[in-house]
Amino acid sequence: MKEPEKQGICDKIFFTGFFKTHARSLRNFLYYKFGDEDLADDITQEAFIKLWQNCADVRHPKSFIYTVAKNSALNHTANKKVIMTYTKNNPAKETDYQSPDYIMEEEEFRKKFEKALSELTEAQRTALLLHRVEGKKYREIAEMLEISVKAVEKRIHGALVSLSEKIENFR
Amino acid sequence: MKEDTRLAKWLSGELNTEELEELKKLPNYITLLRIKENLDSLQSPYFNEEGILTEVLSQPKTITKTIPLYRRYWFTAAAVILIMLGIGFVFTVQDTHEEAFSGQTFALNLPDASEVILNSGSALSYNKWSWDNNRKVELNGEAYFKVAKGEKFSVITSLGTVQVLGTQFNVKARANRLEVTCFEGSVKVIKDGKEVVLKPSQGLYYEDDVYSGVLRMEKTDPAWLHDELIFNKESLGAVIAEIERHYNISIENKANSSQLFSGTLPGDDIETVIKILELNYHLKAEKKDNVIILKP
Repeated sequence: MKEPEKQGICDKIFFTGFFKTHARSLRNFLYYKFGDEDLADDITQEAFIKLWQNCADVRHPKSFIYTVAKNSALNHTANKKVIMTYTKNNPAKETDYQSPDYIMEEEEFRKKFEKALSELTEAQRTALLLHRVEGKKYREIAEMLEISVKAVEKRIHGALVSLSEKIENFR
Repeated sequence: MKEDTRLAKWLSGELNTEELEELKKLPNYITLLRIKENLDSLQSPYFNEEGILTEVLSQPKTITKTIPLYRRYWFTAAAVILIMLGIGFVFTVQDTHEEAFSGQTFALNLPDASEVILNSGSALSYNKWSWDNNRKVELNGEAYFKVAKGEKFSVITSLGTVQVLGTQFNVKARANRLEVTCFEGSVKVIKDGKEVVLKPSQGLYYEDDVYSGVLRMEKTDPAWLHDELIFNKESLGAVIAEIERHYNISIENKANSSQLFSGTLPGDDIETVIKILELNYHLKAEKKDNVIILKP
């Protein structure tokens, strides 16, 4: 894998650019995994410090930070719930659904959605949120998690099946 | 398409129209749509990007930086060492070569401060790097040696070897003649397994491998150092060759004489030299295009 940012990663300006491109994704990946913002911040910071200190020796900075972060993550388990906030207050307000059976009150649906989301497996939630919230392509998620694209698709599919089943059963 | 990734393809917008139409027939399609909208309205969690970046950049990178640098340049360093070893090897193997061209003499010092004066048209080589273990020179021509005291010192010629321990002596190895004169100390001449030891003021020569016996020499150093050419029963050819080297001229000898020559010729007066040859060998000298022709 050819990574142009490898050149001059020891340079402060270059490093800053690399950090701004990748830190948020890594940090939120860790957050979706653990549901713990402080832990995600700590592991992210630690991974980037190691990159900064070993800059001359690192050939693939992106792989490096994910590897370091994942090694740190081995010592932790997901013990908190992922709490998401909304950008828009009424996501489906203007949608006019054809079947009245499925029309729910927005607030009610959102609560069910949040509950269902928190009940997803860690693998499903991480893949789904990286895709939908962080805007990562399945290929990018596969790289991050070191799994195949197919496996990512299975996780996303599973997440959607689980979400829809749960939301409908909560009724 | 496999069933277990269909919704993933739908979510990323990779379904074609046909597949999408099929999906729309699902009873939970509207729920799926609403899930998608809810997902898209989720906000990426707050992340204190600047704070963490500042913290990271404030970390020193000195300790770990030196090790990678060492590792990165390891191959370069290894290559440099190899090249240096290679150069060293070449220097060790390669001998130092000194030469005095015709018409000139050349004085030099060996690594142990021994002095050597090369006579005209002579060459000497030795190995500077192994000198301390191996005081050995190869000589082609004639040279006067003033050897510093120490271990065995050898002069190797194609005609024989001269061995000494600190002394002054002259070695002449020309064509078919090896001539050694000792001026101080003692000299051992090794020729075809036969060893002869010379004391001061003694000399010897081998002409065509025929041994002269130990001869008495009057001089305290070689005549050629004082610009004199001294000959001891040498053939006309050898004398002419010596004159050519010394004066850096060409002489064409059309005479055929087996008479040997003994005596001294001046080193700074070619006219006299030619005159002496004319008288001794009953020859007539002619000069033509920088070449002196000797005719009977």
